[in-house]
Amino acid sequence: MPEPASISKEALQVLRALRDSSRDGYNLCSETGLSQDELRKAVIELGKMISFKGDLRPSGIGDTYFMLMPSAYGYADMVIGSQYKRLF
Amino acid sequence: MTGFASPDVPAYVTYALVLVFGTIVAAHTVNRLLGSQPDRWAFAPTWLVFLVHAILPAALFWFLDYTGALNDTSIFAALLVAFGYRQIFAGGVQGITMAGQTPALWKPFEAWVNQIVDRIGDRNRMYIERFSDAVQAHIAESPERFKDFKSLVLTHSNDAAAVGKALANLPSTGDDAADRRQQIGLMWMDLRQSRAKLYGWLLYQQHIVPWGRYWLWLSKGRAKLFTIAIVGTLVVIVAGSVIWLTRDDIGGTRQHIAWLQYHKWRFLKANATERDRWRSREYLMGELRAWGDSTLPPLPAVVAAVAQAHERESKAADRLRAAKAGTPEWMQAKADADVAAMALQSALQTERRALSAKTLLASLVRELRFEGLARARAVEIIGLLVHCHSPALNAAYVPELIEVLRMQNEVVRRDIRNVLLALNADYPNAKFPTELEKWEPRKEETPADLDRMVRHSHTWWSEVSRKRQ
Repeated sequence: MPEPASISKEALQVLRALRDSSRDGYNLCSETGLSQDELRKAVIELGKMISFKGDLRPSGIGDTYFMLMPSAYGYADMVIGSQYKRLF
Repeated sequence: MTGFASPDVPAYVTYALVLVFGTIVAAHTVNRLLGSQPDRWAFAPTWLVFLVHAILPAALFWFLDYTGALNDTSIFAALLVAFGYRQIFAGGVQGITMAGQTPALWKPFEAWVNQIVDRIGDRNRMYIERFSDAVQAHIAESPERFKDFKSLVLTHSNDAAAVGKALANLPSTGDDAADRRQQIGLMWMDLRQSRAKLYGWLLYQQHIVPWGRYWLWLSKGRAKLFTIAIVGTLVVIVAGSVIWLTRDDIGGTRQHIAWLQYHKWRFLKANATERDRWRSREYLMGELRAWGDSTLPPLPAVVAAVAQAHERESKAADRLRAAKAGTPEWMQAKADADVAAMALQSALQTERRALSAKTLLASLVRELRFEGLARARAVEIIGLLVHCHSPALNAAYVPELIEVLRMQNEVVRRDIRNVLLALNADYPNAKFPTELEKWEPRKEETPADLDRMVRHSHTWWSEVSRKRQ
């Protein structure tokens, strides 16, 4: 398992929200307080850690469904745990 | 784990424990694995994952017993497997080692769960899209609804002015219906952005979406319906099984066969504990000792006799109901009904014996024909037959037992010859063949030698059977 990489605050917020529940782009923006553009950047930064159904274009990102696969739970928990302080 | 001190209880208790606790652990595991999937219980694949996780501990428990890693009558082993089967698969439980490469089976299993999560994600997105499309079409159908929806969006928008401006700037398609759908789509996106969590509730509150649709799509209605349907089906299956096993005489017969099969399995099981084998031996001896004295007719004749006795009992009961209480006709009908009821009980007893002969005795004797049968097992089976001997019981299996003399294991041949000699005591006037009595089975005997002994035995048996009749 690789060491948890340093990720941006926005990506961390998205990861925490998806660890809690899969959701669509509208809900994810509402939960994290990010704009759709910030969400798109965060999703690209998280790369293969998350899976999404739909597209990342501004017109479609709201309807896109984002989720964290069970095989990534452990790594996501490690990343969230290691970066926990940064949220405060 | 086989040497681990633990209360030894019947296997049906341990398997029930593994199933019950395994089911609880399975529900917890599915909630953990698919915890991030909203409405997860509304999807058939989730139930499939649950079912597999519920059955897996019982299957593993059986497998570990089969490979000798533990005993399936150990109550502690049952609890350990029910709660810690994942750790056992991972090789993390000291004293329980999975055979060969079986721990590697967990990897494809995890990949399968990931696939299911992916499919649930697909379907969740599809359902949201369908809901959005259906609601937008519903709004477009009525100008009243459109007006209410517009008011709702402008009331809750984060930027009502921008929405108003965007609506005014929408280019016309030249088709009123298409223009209206475009306006609804634009407002729909704004409402979803502004009130991502509450939009469904707001639509329901404004009577734009009926309660049923809101409950079904946005208030976990599908998951609730699915759960009720599956739990209801399970309850019906369990209740049906209980009725099937307890309903009148036929249910009693089914129960009897089930218990015979269970104890036969435990009695013949190679690695059963001493206490477990003792429990089954006691049960089977009880069955065989209650055999009675009358010779057993063939099974089809017994089944026909039971059906006939049922019919007579039913007719006698009808006559009794029809007669006026206290009259001579009623007295006669009462006596007839009592006789018919007794005859039915007797027929059922015979049926019970016939089923025991078919289910138990034939299997036990067939087991003796297996060349590789351990001596200890053979002694157990022979001991059971000899301890319960009676002329009526002997008649149910001795011809098949004589045929076992043809097998190559000379030790078992000697044991069976001794059984026949012992059974001869049940027939006071019978003479046991001298050649058979003096016979010392040897390894190098030819099939012709064995055939001669088998013929002697059959002749003796025909003689004693004829005298008994």
